[in-house]
Amino acid sequence: MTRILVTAGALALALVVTLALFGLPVFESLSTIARGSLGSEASIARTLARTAPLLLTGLGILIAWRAGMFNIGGEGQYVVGGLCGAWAAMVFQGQSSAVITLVVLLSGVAGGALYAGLAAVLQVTRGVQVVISTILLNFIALALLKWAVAGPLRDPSSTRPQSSALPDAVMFLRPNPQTDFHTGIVLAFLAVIVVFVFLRFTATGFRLKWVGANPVAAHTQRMKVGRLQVTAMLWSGGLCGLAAAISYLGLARRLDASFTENWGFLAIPVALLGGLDPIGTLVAALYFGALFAGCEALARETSVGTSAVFVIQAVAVLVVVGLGRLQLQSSRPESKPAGGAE
Amino acid sequence: MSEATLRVEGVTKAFGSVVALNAVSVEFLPGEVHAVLGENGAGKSTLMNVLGGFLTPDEGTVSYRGEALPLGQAAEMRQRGFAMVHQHFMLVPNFTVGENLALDALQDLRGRLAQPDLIASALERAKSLGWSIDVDDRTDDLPVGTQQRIEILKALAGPSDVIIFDEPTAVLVPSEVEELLGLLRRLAEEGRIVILIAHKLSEILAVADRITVLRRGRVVAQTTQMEANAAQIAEWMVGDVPAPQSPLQEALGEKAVRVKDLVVSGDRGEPAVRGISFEIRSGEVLGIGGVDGNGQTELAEAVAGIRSRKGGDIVTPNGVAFIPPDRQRAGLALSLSVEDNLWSGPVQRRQGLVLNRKRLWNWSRGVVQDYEIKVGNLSDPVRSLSGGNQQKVVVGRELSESPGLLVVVNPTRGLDVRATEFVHRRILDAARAGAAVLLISTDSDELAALAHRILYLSRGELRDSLVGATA
Amino acid sequence: MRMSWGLALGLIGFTLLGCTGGASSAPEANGPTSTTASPPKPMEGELKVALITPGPVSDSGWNAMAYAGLKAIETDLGAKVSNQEAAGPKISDAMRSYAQDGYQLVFGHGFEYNEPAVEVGKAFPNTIFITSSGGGTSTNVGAFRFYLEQGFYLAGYMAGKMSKTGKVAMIGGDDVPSIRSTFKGFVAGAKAARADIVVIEKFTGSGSDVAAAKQATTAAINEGADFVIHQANAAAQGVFEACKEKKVYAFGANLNQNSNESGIVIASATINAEPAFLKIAKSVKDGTFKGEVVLVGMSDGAIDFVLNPAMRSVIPETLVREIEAERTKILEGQLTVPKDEF
Repeated sequence: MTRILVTAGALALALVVTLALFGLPVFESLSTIARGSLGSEASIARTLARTAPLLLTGLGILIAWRAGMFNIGGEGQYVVGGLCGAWAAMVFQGQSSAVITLVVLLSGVAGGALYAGLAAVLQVTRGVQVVISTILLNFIALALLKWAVAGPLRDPSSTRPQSSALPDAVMFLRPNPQTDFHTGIVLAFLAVIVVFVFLRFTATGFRLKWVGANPVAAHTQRMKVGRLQVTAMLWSGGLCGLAAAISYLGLARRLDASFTENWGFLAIPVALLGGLDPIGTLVAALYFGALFAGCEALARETSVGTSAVFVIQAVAVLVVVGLGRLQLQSSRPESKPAGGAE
Repeated sequence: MSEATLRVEGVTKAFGSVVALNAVSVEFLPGEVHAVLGENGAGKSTLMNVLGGFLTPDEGTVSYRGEALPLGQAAEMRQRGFAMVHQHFMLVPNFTVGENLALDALQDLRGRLAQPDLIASALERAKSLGWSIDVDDRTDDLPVGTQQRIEILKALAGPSDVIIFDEPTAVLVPSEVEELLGLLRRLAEEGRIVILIAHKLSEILAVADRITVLRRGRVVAQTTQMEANAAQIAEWMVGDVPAPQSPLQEALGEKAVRVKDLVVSGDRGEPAVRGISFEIRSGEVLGIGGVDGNGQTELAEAVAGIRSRKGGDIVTPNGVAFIPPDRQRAGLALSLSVEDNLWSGPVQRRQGLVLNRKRLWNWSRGVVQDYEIKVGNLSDPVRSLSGGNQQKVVVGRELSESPGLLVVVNPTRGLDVRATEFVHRRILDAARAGAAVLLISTDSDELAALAHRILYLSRGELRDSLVGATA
Repeated sequence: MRMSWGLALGLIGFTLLGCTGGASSAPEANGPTSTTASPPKPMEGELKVALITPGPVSDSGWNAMAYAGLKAIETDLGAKVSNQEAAGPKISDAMRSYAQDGYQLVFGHGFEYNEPAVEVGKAFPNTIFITSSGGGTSTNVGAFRFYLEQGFYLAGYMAGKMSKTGKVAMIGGDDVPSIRSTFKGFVAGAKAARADIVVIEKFTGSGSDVAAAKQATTAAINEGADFVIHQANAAAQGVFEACKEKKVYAFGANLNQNSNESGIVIASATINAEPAFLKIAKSVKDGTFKGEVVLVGMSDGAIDFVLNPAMRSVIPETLVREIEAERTKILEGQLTVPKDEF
């Protein structure tokens, strides 16, 4: 409880300090942020639309990290998920739109999962740490995206390097087209329940926690450590790929070189702020989603421009990472000296 | 009273709601070996960590040579001559011996790093003790006994007017224990204050000039070697004297375990177990003694089915329970809850897809009661338990569903008298219920108390006696 | 079988969610959603105008020019204005946000804004979207078409007359139709001045890669070019540097770049967005806006060709008169500079 209050307090303080440093009127800016994130139906829809990719990638990071696989490659898995989705949409062109929607979603999941699985298999069989390999795979994915939208996925009728636009029927429903809300967002929230149930009520989820906490002991308990690590990464990448497919089918409609918006990187502070817990991650994703939506309003209404918004977001992320580090240290005071409280 | 007295006065330290030390006052005199005794959780380690500078007490003072000490500042305390030999060695496993010694002697990070200069005094000390140390050995390749010697050299290389040994005999074989006790005497005779924490009363009585007994964070008694009496001390510690265990006399069952020409490699592919054969009947406890690092871990893991074998055959009955030698490394996930640490037992045995949380919860409550595990809440991390209770979690998890084969390695390392007796009883219960038990231990008392037969491991081969089996 | 059941259930779920989402109230500023746009009528209340640019408005180039137009609307019409950078998937987001906030006029400063404008415009019939170049229009979506080819024509004419080697060069950033079209104007001018002129054309693929621009320019000069014109946005500095090193003349483009510190800019083909921006804003205010592509050229005061006064000594007086004659022909409609439709 104190932990939550401290975190919330620190985040609020960081926001106020950053606004003040940019010479913005603090109270007005805060009210702009509040209005831009929660003030109207459109604002709330915007907050939810920003929350969805953060939430899905955050859940992905959470599962991998819980299993001790420090996946830094959410971004790359997101990109590959998006690419596979766009590719599937191209291949299945002409099929009924519901089929295309489903196929795009599944391909996104599969693409992200396989891309993460590659890193996991490299660690399990060749000893290449995922911390390193997933970072490098991010770069490959981004280069792949740039190439694909200028090459095989390029919309021939477009003058810019981008994939073809999806027809409306394939896209998720937008009940009110004036707002950003689309039905894909609901899938992101359903994923919280799925991940929660997976970690809490299945044997595999239970074993993942063990493997993450102590792989040696997990092996001694006859758990298949390598296979579980790969499983965790498949889930992780699959969720990041799903995030991409939902963005693609929700608002983006097409891929171009700037399809990724750092969601896969932002997922890490989201998952950390959420205490690597599904419910906590939901709260953290909502916070960041609201902050992003609110900051967009701030950028529109003040002269500081978009760069101040990036700073505000970055400071929030740094605060979260810093607090996470402090928590990590304070959570194991007994292990510092030898024997504990004997 | 001598000038160089170490005076602990009214020290209190609480961890949350647990009061680990409650107004403890003790005086330590130079030239004496002073033993501090107590059950697990009595506050011994906390007291030692205060003296080592690792913990700041909530109340009370500690003074040495009449000066108040900078408590909670480990580096400063080390400068004042307080050295500690930890129960869990403070060595960097993938450093060489020389690097570990140099690391400890390093004053700061400025200037040139000259390992030979830094470790000269430690090597000289080793020479005077008659120890041969190869500075280029990788630390984690060495047997536990040798690692302890490095730990001791680290302590002696710097200023070491007060030297604290935290349960140093737990990992040693009898001949090594004897040598260590001799060393303690010698250090005291050189005018040091030697503080010893140990469980075995016989060892303490043999070496300690003065004995302080802690129970639940309080000093309950102090005595000298002259007046000490084992039964009396045990009573102070636990309130009653545990009855010594004796091996079973019941008739043994069928041959349950058959191991033939077993060959197993170590972690780096080196031959660890070199073609050994034995059989265990159901209900029988086969004890395997010998010095650490002679293939014990590899043998145990191979028989338990966790390590693949390079050659030979193993036949085991259904239901293999395994109590690994190092609970913190291989037995428990310290950051997970007590609950999670218990549940892995049934979850792994049943291999179902879905957790029946309610049934698991009820089951784990039962284990906590049966095994007298002292825990406030099942969702507390297992790290917050004392060593004895942690071991009970492992034993409870492994034994609560009567196994066909029980493989146990050093099950009571670092446990106090009462917890040791408890674990022993549970192992014997398992045997009585029909389990074949492979007990691998470096503690000859433990082997004598539990085993029907005792064999010895030396360089990966089995011998009939310990003669020639010491390292 | 199972699959189709899942699909059906999913679709039912989506539809239900869609219904509940749509039932909530419409946002304050824009009125209810309708697909049939009401005809424009004179506006009431405050005029709110927004500008979305692909880069920072401090670039003293393409983006700065649009910002000047926006500022003119603020001062001349007393409008509330706002500006924001957005690229890729953020473009639709930014357009929607402004529309949601009740802006009546949103400028998207670039060809890439046209397609999102048409799409977002469908959902916001009461907001008018104008993009700088682009061909898609609807009742509330229009586009400028800056007739920069006219300026490029005069630059080509001047280069053709002055070139000693008989070779001139054009360095482009992104290979996009709008840039190709301006190059067409340059070629026409050069050919009009000298029938046997050779025009070298190079694209670097980036409007921001200064090094690539410099490399391409150096290569063109090595091939013999002694006049260089560019369409490289922020990378233009690389073009100028190469020209300075090789001691050849360059033309500025979009903005008046005559005073560039390289000292080799002999003249500039410029766009002045202010009159065009103001004209559109006024038509929105009066309710006379029509969704169409508006061609704005020299006769509107939007396009100019400005000789560098500091270099008048190297420009023959006869050539200055010839250029003025060509300009008059263009202004009087006797000469139509070729351009592409895109």
